[in-house]
Amino acid sequence: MPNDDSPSLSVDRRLALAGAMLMVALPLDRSAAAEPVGALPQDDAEFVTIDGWVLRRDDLVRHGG
Amino acid sequence: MIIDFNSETQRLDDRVYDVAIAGGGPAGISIALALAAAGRSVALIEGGGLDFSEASQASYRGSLSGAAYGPLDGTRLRYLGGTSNHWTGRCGAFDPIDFAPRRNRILPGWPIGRDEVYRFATQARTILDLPRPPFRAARPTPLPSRYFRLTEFAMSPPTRFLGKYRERLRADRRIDCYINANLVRIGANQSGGHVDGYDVRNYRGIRRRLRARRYVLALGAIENARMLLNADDVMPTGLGNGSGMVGRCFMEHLDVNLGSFVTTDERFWRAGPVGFNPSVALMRQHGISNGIVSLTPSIKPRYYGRAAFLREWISGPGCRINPDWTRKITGSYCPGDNIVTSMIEQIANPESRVRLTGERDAFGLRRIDLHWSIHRNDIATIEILAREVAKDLARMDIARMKIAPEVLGRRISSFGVQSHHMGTTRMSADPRFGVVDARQKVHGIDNLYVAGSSVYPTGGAINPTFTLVAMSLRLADHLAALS
Ligand SMILES: Cc1cc2nc3c(=O)[nH]c(=O)nc-3n(C[C@H](O)[C@H](O)[C@H](O)COP(=O)(O)OP(=O)(O)OC[C@H]3O[C@@H](n4cnc5c(N)ncnc54)[C@H](O)[C@@H]3O)c2cc1C
Repeated sequence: MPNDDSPSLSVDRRLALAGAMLMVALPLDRSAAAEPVGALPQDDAEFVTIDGWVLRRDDLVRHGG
Repeated sequence: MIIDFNSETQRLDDRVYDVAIAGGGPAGISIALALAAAGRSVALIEGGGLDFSEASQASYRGSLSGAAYGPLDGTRLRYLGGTSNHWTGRCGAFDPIDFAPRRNRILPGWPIGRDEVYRFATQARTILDLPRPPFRAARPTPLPSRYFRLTEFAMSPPTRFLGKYRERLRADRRIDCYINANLVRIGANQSGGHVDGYDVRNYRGIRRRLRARRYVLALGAIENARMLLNADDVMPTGLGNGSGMVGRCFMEHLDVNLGSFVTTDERFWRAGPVGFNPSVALMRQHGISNGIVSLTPSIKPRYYGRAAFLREWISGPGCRINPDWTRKITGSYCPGDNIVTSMIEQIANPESRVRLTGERDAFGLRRIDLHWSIHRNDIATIEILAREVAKDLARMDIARMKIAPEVLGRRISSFGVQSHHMGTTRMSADPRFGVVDARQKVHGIDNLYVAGSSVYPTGGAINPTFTLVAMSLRLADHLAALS
């Protein structure tokens, strides 16, 4: 996994990564991240780490709408 | 008075001062003023003049052989006032846990307690122009957390010792402050157990001997060790180096970018950046060192709007046709903007050290090689702190953090530094593990003392200057009582 903060990454790659981060991290995007939850590394009962993001398990619960 | 040693060298010949202090930075000036106030005669020798000069600064050059570090003459300043001529002024005190035994340490910690270190805290606050009460968190309410607390600190204006104390040094009859007066050799008796003079040199090659009853080294952490090591004409490994500890355990505060974060509670971040320190329970549970984790939100957290804006931009054509704009937006609006930096305690590690090289400066002093070494326990502290702070941000529901991959994988290859040099003449009750005793006297030498952060046996996670000023006043109090 390249360091997405690296200035040497192309703009496209950077944007793609930024987009991916938003998908998993922002509350409005929770539904997008809900599907692969079973495949994620299990940190503990409370937290899960996805691509470096340390999230609460309830962050991944699908939200209505 | 202030005497230019370039033009006036005779004055040293016929005097014996109560105390001779080498180094006119915060440590040396604090000791000189306190001793003079107690009625003692003081010679303060400062290698530089009243302004920056390349001739003086060049003596600080050295080589690097360990982990990447900045140039040794790059941030320290070698003229009256020392590095305070450009320090930032951030001050704080060591935590009580910093004085307690810790699982991840290799060497013993402080032989004196926190109360003793800060016996002269009030006076140190006055010297550094710190507000009262001195150390507070950046916001009034505590964190709703069992694992972290807000970092407490205060800002000095910052006090520039040259500007603030020049007039007092000039006017004080008990202080002879020699500028352009470089300590080039510590003279000692044959056994190396008693210092009998400081050899001082100006920029015209004239050399004189300064005599006093007691001697203090206050040259900054790298130079204190360098000067003791250079005294190998008296003792084969240098003065005070019977156990080989001089120069060892060089410590910094590691400045590692731990990752980035997105905010989830606008109200919390409206008050600006915060620093978190781990609780004692957390440090004990994981056997880690202390550290400050700093979270800086780069823009007012307009969370949803920001996300929407970014997503729209990413999916639209503007992203491709205007790469400059795209770069700007990704540079300033990405979640990665909210950065998590740190200031991590480094354990005292004998492999992290300064040594002499064969190269000499203009005064004939051998130069230093800094072999900065990061211990695996330091890396463990960094990774565990990052993980725990990330969890706690989520637990408190104030942010979500992305840990940098090299931190998560414990593959950190470069470390930022704070220019906090510590530990090269560490304090220890047992001479096997240190260079100075609890009074800052060099083990095995009856009249040589060391001042400054080189005596710290541990570095904690706080900027060093407040503590070194408080300890310098403690040392002055001791010396005044002896003289
Ligand atoms: C950019 C920067 C920012 C900093 N910000 C902070 C901060 O916010 N908070 C904080 O706590 N600390 C900070 N520091 C660290 C702080 O500057 C030092 O802790 C402090 O200056 C140490 O004081 P000292 O008297 O021990 O050493 P120094 O200030 O280094 O003084 C040593 C003195 O010895 C003199 N000298 C050296 N060799 C000889 C010789 N052979 N003969 C005679 N004289 C000699 C030098 O000219 C100098 O005057 C910062 C440092 C830097 C570089």
